[in-house]
Formats: sequence, C-alpha cells, structure tokens
Amino acid sequence: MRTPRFILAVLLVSILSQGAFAQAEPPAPETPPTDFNANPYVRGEQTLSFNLGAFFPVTFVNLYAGGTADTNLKIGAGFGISYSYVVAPGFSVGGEIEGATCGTTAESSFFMVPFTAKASWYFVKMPFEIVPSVSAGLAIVRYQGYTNFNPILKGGAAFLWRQSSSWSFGLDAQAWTVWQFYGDIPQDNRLGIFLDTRLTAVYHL
Amino acid sequence: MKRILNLAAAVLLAAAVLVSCDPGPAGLFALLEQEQPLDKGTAAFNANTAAFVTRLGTDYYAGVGATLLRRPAAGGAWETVTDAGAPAGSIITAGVSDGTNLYVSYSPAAESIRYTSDGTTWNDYVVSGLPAGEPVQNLLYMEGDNRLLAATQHSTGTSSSDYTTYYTLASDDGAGVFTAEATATDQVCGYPSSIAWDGTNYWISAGNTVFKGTGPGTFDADDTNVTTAGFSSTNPVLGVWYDLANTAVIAAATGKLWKLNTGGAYAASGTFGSSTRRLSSAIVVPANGGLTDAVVVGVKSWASDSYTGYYEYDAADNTPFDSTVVPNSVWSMVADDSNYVTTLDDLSIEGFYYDDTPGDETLFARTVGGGLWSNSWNGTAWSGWDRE
Repeated sequence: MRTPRFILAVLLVSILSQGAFAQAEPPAPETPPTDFNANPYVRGEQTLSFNLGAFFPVTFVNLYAGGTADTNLKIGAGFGISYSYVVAPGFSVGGEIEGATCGTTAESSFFMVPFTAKASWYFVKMPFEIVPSVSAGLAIVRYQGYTNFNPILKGGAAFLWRQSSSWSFGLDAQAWTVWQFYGDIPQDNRLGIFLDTRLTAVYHL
Repeated sequence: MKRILNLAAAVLLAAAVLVSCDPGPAGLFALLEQEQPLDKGTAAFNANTAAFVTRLGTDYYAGVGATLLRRPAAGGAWETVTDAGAPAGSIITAGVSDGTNLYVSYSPAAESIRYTSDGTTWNDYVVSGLPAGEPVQNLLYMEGDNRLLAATQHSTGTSSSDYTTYYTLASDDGAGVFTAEATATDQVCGYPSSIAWDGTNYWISAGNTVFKGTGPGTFDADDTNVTTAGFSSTNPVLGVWYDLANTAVIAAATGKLWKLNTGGAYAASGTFGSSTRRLSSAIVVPANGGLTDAVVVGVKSWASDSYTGYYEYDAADNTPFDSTVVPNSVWSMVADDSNYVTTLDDLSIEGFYYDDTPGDETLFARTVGGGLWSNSWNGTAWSGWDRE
C-alpha cells in the first residue's frame, strides 16, 4: 500500500506544481529595470534557480527524551529547483522542490525530497546580491523501504554574483529542520537538522 | 500573487493529507540512530558466513572459512582457536557438540572430522566407514542416540547439464566408526542441512527430500509425503525444528512451513511472504510481550527472490498447525521493530542456534555474508540483535 500512495503523492504534488507555473503569468513589471545597477527585484520579476551541492547531516534531536544523537548518515548530495515571483520590491514568494541523498553507516541509503513554499528578500549591491530566505513545507523521507511525509522548515541565504541581466551565480546555504512526530510511538519523535550547501544558478525570466 | 498562494496552500494541503500514510514500523530518524557499521564486531565474522556456532562447556565455538573461534558464554571477545592438525587448504563445513566433545568437519579434505574436548587438544575422529575420498559437508547430532551423522558428498559430470551431486548419510558408533545408511547412500538430493528429533523419529531436511529414521541404520527418504508436499530442487525444504511444547516437527520450505507427520500427509501453513520465498530455518525460542514462545523463521535470499530477514509467529499456533499459521505483521517477539529493521532485516539468514543454558540464553543468527549476530534473553525480554 505504501508504494501507490507514494506515487500518488508525487503525481499530485507535481500536477499542482505544474499548475502553479502554468497559471503564474506575470503582469507587466510596474517599473521595468532600465538601470543594470539598480535593484532589479521589482514587482513582477521572476526567477528560476538551479542548485547542486553537498548535503551535511548535523544531528537528530530527541523530542521525547531530550538529547541529541549521531545521524549515522554520511555527507551526501543535494539538488533542487525553485521558482520565485517578486510581489513587492525586494521580496518574493515561490516554491522549491529539492532532493537530498546520503549513504548510511550500514551502507544503506537515505533520501529526502522536500516540497516547500519560499519567501525571499533581496539585498543588492551590484553586481552582488544577498538573498536570505525561509521555506516551509513537507519532506518525503525515505529509508529502509519506508516512506514518511514530515514537516520541514528551512532558513538560510544565497550569495550571488550578477553575471548579466539574465543570470546570477553563487552559493546558497540552508539549514533544514525536519520534524518527525508519531502519535503512537512518541518515543521516536525526532528533529533532524541538516545543512545544505549548494552552487546555484539563477535565471531571471 | 493570490493565485500562487492558493496553489501553494493546495500543495501543502495535499501533502498534509498524505501524512496519514503508514510511517513504517518506527520513526525513520529513530531507526537511523540505531544503525550499526558493517565492520562492527569481530573482524573474522564480518562480511562472512559462519559455518556453525555451538556451545562446548563454558564457551561458544564458531567456524568461518578455515578459522575456528571461541568466546566465553558469559561474554567476552572471540579468540582464534588453533588446531595444528586441521587439513591444510580446507574450510570448515560444520561443527556440532555432544556436550563432551566438539566435532568439526572440513572440505574438500576427504573424510575429515576433527574433535576436541577442551579446544586445545585436537584429534582426528574418523576411524572408518565414510565413503572413500568424499568430503564431509555436514555433521548432524542425533540427540536421542548421542551419535553423529555425517553427510558426505560426491559429484559426477563437468557441466551444468550433466552435473549431479550425491549425498550419503553415515551414522557413527560413538567412537569414529561410521556405517553408511543403506537407504540413504548416494542419494541425489539436496544438502542435508538440519536434523530434528521428536523423541521417536529423527527428521532431516535435504532440499528435495526429507529423511526419516528412528536411529542409526534406519534412515530413509520419506518419499510418499515428500511427493505429496511437492518438495523438489526448485521447491526445497531447508530446515527442521521440533517444537517440544506443541509436539510439532516444523519444516522450513519454500513459501510456507510444514508440519511433518508420521501418521499422514504433511500439513502446510499459510504463505510466508510469497510462494517462492525460501525459508532457511525455523527455531522456537522465548518471546517478548507475554507470549510463551515464538517461532522465528529465517529467510534465505536466492537468485529469483531477494527477500531477507526473518518472520515470526506465536508458537502456540503450532497447535493445531494448519493454513491459518502465517507470519506476524510486526517484529516484536525477539527484538523490537527498530532493532529488527536496522539489523537482520536486510540480511539473508543461513540458520539459527539457541543456547538455552539458564543464565546464558542466547540466540545466534548466522547470516549469508553478513556476519554472526546474537540476541540475549534475560528471562523476561530479549536484548535485541547485535553483531558478534
């Protein structure tokens, strides 16, 4: 029964996500950026970000008994794609789909695929941009053939170099907090903390 | 903007609905915390298959490859046992104890069984009677008669199309003089893997057949019942165990267990996993959670079915034994779910050994290429699986 639900979940979220992209036709920018050195993040600006990098497991916090424990995860890889729509000067909302995979101490494998809504703030000193962000959503967590859907909160910042009016490149670092709550086995409640560091390429639509 | 927020909310709502999915037997991060590195434990066992583990005196002995090891039953590290007379170039195929001596067989050396009473002084055991030139592939201990049965093997042919393996069972007189069982000589059968004694009959699982006998000189294939049950080279029976409390000889076969009867056809359980799952062994041990006993059924991975781990069920279900006997849906009888998932769940089980000595009760699991594992019973609960 787990596999069909998992497939259903992926299809459902993918369809809804595609809907978001299809229907998010931007209105004409209120103030089209004419000066390359001006803050280009004005209402209507849209970006697509592509990320690839290293994923660092930090610790598991025991929410039932207290204390922390080794994650038994090795440093892994992360990747993702996000979409942002500027709704006010220097502030955007959007969505992000990511993936992270790690090997485990016992040579098993571990996957997380978070789907999150994202809010970003843009601080620009051309050609550099600092983009702090927070995200919230759900993460599909898969290990030992079992799949969980857990709440996830992320926070961090991207440090970008504006290469042209179409592209920015840089580094993005995000702290992930993944919350596992089990009503029937509260002793297994955990908070997973991870650090996601990625090279990022931002395409300005 | 409003449209995007609505869609984002819809995505989160859809995902939130899916949170109600079965999260598995335990918290996934909690499971991860319990993972153990593959190289934990005794190096000689890791990534290998122990041929046997048994108890002699106050020590456990185990054989892996050509190496003999032992450790105190009360706990401690495994140490290598030296037998200078062991045949060079051979590996250990089996080891059994009669309470006085430990007997260890080797292959491909011919007719080679070594024995010791203390782990220090070793001697050849075989005086005569084993088929000339044939290696001993297994030793089975006849509990009621206090005798050994040796399974020797030879093969003919050179390719898969004409290759045939023959086994001979030979019983011992207690002093190394063996006599081949007349009706269990040069049998084209599977590996005679285990023996169970119900107080009257011995039962031996041997792949495509079951041998039955009341003592030395009486072993024969139980052809009628084997044919009815459908045991064959592609539907093998791999292990037997006698459940004393429920007076049932349980055979681990393919896709199901069987109760071996002397008065009629064997009785089948329900399906264990799938019709092609190879159940390697069965053993009855104490159980957690207020049950009297649990039956633990090992799963052996093979080419067309890569399932691993073990099943378990309440041993009381062996009375009566019928198609309602199926595996329990959780793994809490000899471990907890978290411990099971992070230990033996992904390992192919070759066989179990249980030491029921009061105060030392320990269940061992020999895995295929995954080391030797143990689990201790404290009179009330199991400790959980850990690497030896």
